[in-house]
Amino acid sequence: MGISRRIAQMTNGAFDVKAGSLFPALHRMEEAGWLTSSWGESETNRRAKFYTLTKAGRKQLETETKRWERISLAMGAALSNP
Amino acid sequence: MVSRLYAFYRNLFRRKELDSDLDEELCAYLEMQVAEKIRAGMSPEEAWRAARGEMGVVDQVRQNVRDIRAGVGLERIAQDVRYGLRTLGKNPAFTLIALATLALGTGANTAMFTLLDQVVLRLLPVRQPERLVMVRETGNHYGNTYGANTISWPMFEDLRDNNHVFSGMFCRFPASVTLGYGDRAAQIPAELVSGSYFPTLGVGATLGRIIAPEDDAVPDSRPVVVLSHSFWESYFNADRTIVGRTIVLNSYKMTVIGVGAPGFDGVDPGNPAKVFVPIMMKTEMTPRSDGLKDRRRRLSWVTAYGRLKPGVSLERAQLSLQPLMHSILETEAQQPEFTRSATAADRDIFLRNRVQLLPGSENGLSDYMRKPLWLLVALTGAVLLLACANLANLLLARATARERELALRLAIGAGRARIVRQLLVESLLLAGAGTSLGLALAFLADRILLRIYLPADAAAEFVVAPIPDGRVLAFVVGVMLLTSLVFGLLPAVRGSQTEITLSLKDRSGAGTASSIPLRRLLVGLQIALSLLLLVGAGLFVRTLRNLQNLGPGFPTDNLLTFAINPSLNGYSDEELKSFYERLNVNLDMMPGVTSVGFSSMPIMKGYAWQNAILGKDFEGAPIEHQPVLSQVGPGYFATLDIPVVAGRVFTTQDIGPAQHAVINESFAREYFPGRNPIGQRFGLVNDMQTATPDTEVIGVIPDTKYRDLRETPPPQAYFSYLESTHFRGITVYLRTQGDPRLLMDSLRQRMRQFDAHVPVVGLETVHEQIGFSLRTERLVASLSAVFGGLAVLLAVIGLYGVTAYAVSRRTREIGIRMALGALRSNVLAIVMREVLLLIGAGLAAGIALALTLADLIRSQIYGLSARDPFTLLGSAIVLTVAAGLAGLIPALRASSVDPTTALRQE
Repeated sequence: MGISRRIAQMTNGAFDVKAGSLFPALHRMEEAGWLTSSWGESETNRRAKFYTLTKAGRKQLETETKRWERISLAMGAALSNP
Repeated sequence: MVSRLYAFYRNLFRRKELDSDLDEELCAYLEMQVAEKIRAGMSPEEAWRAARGEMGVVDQVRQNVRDIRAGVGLERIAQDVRYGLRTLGKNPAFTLIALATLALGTGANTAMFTLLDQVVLRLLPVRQPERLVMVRETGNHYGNTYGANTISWPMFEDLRDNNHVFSGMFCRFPASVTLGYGDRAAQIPAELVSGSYFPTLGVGATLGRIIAPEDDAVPDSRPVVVLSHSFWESYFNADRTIVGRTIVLNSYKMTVIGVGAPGFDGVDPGNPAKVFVPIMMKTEMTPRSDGLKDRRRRLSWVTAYGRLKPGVSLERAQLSLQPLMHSILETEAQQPEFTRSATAADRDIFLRNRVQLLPGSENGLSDYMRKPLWLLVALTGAVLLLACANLANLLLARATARERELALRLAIGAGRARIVRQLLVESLLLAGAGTSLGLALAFLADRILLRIYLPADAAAEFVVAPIPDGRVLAFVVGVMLLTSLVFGLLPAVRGSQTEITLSLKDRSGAGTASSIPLRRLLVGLQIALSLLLLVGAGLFVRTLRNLQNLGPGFPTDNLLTFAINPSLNGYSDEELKSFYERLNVNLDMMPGVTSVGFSSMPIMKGYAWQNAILGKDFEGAPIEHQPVLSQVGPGYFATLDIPVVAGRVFTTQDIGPAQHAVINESFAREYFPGRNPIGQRFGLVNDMQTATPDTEVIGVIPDTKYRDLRETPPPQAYFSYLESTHFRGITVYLRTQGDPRLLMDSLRQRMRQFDAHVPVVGLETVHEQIGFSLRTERLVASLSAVFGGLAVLLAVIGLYGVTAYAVSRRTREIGIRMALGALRSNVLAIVMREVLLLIGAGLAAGIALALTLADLIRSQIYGLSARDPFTLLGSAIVLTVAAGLAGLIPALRASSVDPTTALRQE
């Protein structure tokens, strides 16, 4: 819940991740060992599931970020050079 | 990696927990969404609806999450398997028939092919068995021979010492020896082997050592014996202290020097050897016949084998041995024993004899069983084809019946891939279970069949692997899998093309008619094949009947027979003569025995003593035309109930030195045409001395069979054993008053009291003996009858199924016809016309096939043509009636359709 709101905030509403995509994505990352989850209290005092990045997850994030940077650089270059 | 494994484990075994966790998570999310929306000013109901709308179908989210879990494929398959088992269980008739079809198809084929593989195609358990060859001489050797592939000892020595193609050569001679233990005796098969036997074969010892060349250097010098592994286990309880002990063979003490390798029973698996003795001990092991010291080259008795040198092919070796063989023959043709017994014309033929090399793993059993087994393999091939057709038909029928179920499942959101997989799993379940059943069946069947084919003790030792040869297994299982997959998946593929709504709406399932022609074709094929199998069964059963009706030419009821060979105990000629005379008197007095006859040759066992004869007007003869001979006791003809046509038969007074003979009518016709045979004289051609015609014919008997039931009685001459000076074993015939089987036990006991050291061999009724001689024919006849019956059953099921289905699809049409005034007989005619057309087409194809294939089985048929019209007609009638009835049932049902009900059905 918090995650999708935060994504929406950070991207100024450009990305609105719905539950149908969010949950499978979270579980896939958990299966891959990039996230761990635990139950806890939310800021509104409700039971909620919290996801934390693991060490492997952080590493994966790094490589993915690098990959994305390469791609976006390349895309930018390709688009700005007519 | 570890976490991944853990996830896998968790997903598989703690699915419930995970699922509830997921539900909770989704619930919490939903509630938070709702709470937020309420805060933003929505009413609770509105908030719920909006939150749900945003989230999508909860179930779908849940399913999506589940789908990404590790190991989900496995879980699904388990689900499919469970579902498949349930569906199969819900339809037991289909499942049973399908399983039976599969088991039959795989079972029959595997059983037959395994038998063929292990009996006919199997190689000996020796080092590089494919490099081992048997060395034989083609053509007529003009002397005494002990079996088809034998050569003389001097010829073996010449070949062994002068060839350049073998890395080693050995020879062997199979013999029966008497094994003494305690106060009892048994006759066991032994292999007399040259010193090079074990080293050349590459067979070692489990215990002790094998026979080495130095054990076989000097005649009579080394009384040693090697036990076969199976004999050591069964007879000596695998006693490891056996080496160094002595056993008694033919009253000679022999030292056990070792136990052979497991699974090795000599070079003739059809006649497994229990002990191996150096061939230099031949005098002791086969008293009264000494081929070793008697260096006559006319006496062929050893079977010779060679191991091809590396790089030398069988063909090249055979070619390069010819000059050597020719020079050996040149030498032999100049020897006096050859010139005495052969003419100049014989000499030219003799010099054209050649060396022939045969694969070393061939033997009498494989020769004998090759044709019938290939035939049965071909028959089971047809059964397999039929089983596949039947299975295909069943699966197609089932597919049609399930079309609605599949449509329903598609409609409620099952993926097509999932449905295809489901059907795949079901087919595999069926195929797997059916094939395993078939393999178990095959294993059992092989044990039973081997017991029919081999003597009891040999069958027990003949190892049949429970897992058949990989190639057979792969082929049979592959065919079955393919059939069940192809026809099991057809509905899935078609199902995904059907309009769901159409299929669901239409009650009588008119959605697909395309399976009907295919199913008709399959049924037609089944009918054609079952006709073929029926015709085969008819021919083989009638062949067996013909042979059984032939009879040997004398009554076989109440006739007992057994063999003894006291000469193995070292009795002298005089002792033997007295032994036989006392035995004759003793058995004559036995209660229940009416008469006793002795013969030196067993009759109807395929053996023959043939010799060229000469007389005043005839001299010599090619071996095929030589008369067959035997020495008999005085009571022989009376015991066998063979009447005297002219003159008299032997009495106890015919004890020599004058030589007398009783001949049969063929002999009289052949050698004394147009003359009174009584008082004529002839003599046996002998290579030891010049023959003189000094044997006088005293009587003539009618023609009776000598070797086997199939033969035309050959010219026969009988001599009195009392006039002979040379004795060996004899076969005893006893005519009894009542059931001869009741006398067996007391006879055994009487013989033990008479002489405990002389074992009784092969005690049986002549009826049983003749029955055993027809075992191949009986096996082929009974199995082909079973296959034929099953084939008809399968075809009938197929025809019934396809007709019933066609009728049920046409119920409405029939209803309309009847409403418009069609009679029941009209409806019946419509349905039956199709059924009969189908049967007719199948029969036509089957008859064409049967006529084409007839030549292949001609050699297995006796007393009728392989294209026998009665058998063809009879089979066709049986099949038409059976299949017609199968078609009639649904046709009758169709004709009793009530038009109103039929029309209301829509």
